Amino acid sequence: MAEAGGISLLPLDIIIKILSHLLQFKDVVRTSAVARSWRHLWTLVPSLRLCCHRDRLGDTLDFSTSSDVCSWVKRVNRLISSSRVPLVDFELTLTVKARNFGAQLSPLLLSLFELLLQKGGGLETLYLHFPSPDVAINLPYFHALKVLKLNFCHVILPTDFRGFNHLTTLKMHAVQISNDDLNLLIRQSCNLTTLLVHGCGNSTNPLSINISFPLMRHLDFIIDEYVEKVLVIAAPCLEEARFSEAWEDDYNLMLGWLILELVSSVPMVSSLELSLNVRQYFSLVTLPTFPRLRCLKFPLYINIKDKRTYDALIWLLRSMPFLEELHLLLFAYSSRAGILQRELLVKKHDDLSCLNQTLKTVRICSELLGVVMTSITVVKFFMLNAKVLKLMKIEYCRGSEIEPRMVEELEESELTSSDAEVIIQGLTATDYFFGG
Amino acid sequence: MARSSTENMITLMSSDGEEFMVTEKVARECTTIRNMLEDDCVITNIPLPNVTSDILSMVIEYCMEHVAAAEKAAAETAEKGSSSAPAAAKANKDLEEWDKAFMNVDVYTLCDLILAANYLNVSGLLDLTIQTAANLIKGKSPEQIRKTFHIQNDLSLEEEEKIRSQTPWAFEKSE
Repeated sequence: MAEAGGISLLPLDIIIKILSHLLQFKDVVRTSAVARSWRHLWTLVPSLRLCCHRDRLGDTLDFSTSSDVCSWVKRVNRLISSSRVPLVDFELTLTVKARNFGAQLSPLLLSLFELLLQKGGGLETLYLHFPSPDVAINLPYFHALKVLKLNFCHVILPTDFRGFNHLTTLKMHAVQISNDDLNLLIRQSCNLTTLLVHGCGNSTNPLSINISFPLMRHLDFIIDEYVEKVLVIAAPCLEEARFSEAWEDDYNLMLGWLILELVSSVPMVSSLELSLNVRQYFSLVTLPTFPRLRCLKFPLYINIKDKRTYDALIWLLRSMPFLEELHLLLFAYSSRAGILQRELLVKKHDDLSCLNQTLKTVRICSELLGVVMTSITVVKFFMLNAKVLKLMKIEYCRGSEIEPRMVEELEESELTSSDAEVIIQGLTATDYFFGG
Repeated sequence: MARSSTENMITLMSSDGEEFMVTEKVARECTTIRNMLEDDCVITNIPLPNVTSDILSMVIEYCMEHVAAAEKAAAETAEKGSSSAPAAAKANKDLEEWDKAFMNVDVYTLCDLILAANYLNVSGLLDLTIQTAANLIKGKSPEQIRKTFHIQNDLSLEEEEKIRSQTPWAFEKSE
């Protein structure tokens, strides 16, 4: 016997809100069999999040043929029709291996978006995952759209595209879009605060992007070989920037140049994350000063035979006079020469403002701390030179025989800041690589 | 941060007549109360006929924790001139942990909290409680949902079978 109270007291709109928070539509539909009063609740939920493999919406389809894909899209259409409220959230994930849906699928998608426009003129969140290069999605104009996430889609903008005036978040991953359309989309969305662009260019359509947003706070840009140029022209509110290059077999020097140009175009950020082998560039580029930068995260590739590693580190620190937190990912290679040279590298620096006055936290992650002695010189460098250091945290991957000796050496190293705490933490490989 | 002694105190009275003295800042976390205060700034005693004392004390606990966290963040920003992103992220994580522990309640209390958060319009608490309720539904069969929320099954076997057969894909076991 059910007791009075609890969920039976909640008004309908709150129960609908609870169901809207379910990320899988399957969970929403399943509530139809809970009790009589729950029978049709799912048709009142304004969120529709569908994935072809999870939500088959009918008999089993294996999505190996284009007709399977088409029937699924038709089922999605029917589901949208059966919804009795305007949609606010719509998510469509089609993960299929088949290609060349072309002619069959295009009209279906068109009618799906038409239906969405009828049902969801007020759509606020749209997420599409649609790896079908031969089907271009003509992005409809949802006037209330706030969040747009596109994955693997081929997208074209309507010729009379007016911009999404309420759009705050735009995330695009491996989206096939023309350079003109991408720039138009970015330029016309004047309220954007978060932008992520990754892998949206190709050999016939290299990207060249100018970013200019009055309200942008977060920018995340992954540069690959198909980006020709990307610059932040004006973004006075930008606080966090993360720039990295797509991983490739051969180190592509050009990508680094693009990242450096991009970094130089955002001198007012307070948090910066880079993936860049600074050693390759530092002597060739002048960095601006970053007067508001408090937190920096970047990888340091150490090659002990190459003194430029240290010069590059100093070069970077010099342009960041108010840095408070530094997160370093150390990549070092074992080298005998390193053992001979390493003492030379730990030397005093008294002319770097951040080391003298602001740097309080240094966190170093080093896979091979216990193996490559040179990693230790980096730690020692900060212990010696960071004069107001409060916390030095070193995380390394456990499993080396010389590890205890290394730890001992660190514990005995000279520490200039009297109230600094040094934490040395050996992690198992799993915790180290996948976050413990 | 030292609290100024002249800070306004507001008395909130629960449906069962218990009185809670809170600072105006904490009371303002409830949009409903904030609107009352803005309409009538001399008001100091607010009866809340829809909220019982045990639920009200929890809502106040939530508001105090979140006001304190916001004050701490503001103080750090003032001290340093700007907040550092990782420190802010750590503070956020701590608050999330607190929220998580705070949500360790039975479903009756949870539903009462949802009602109170909705009535008092505490958006953070409303989001938190609604998400918690959604998590209790996620991945569960209709039978498990009934059990979790103490819902009486008023469907006959045939009716339930018919409902299931209309959208069989929704009742498949997840792979």
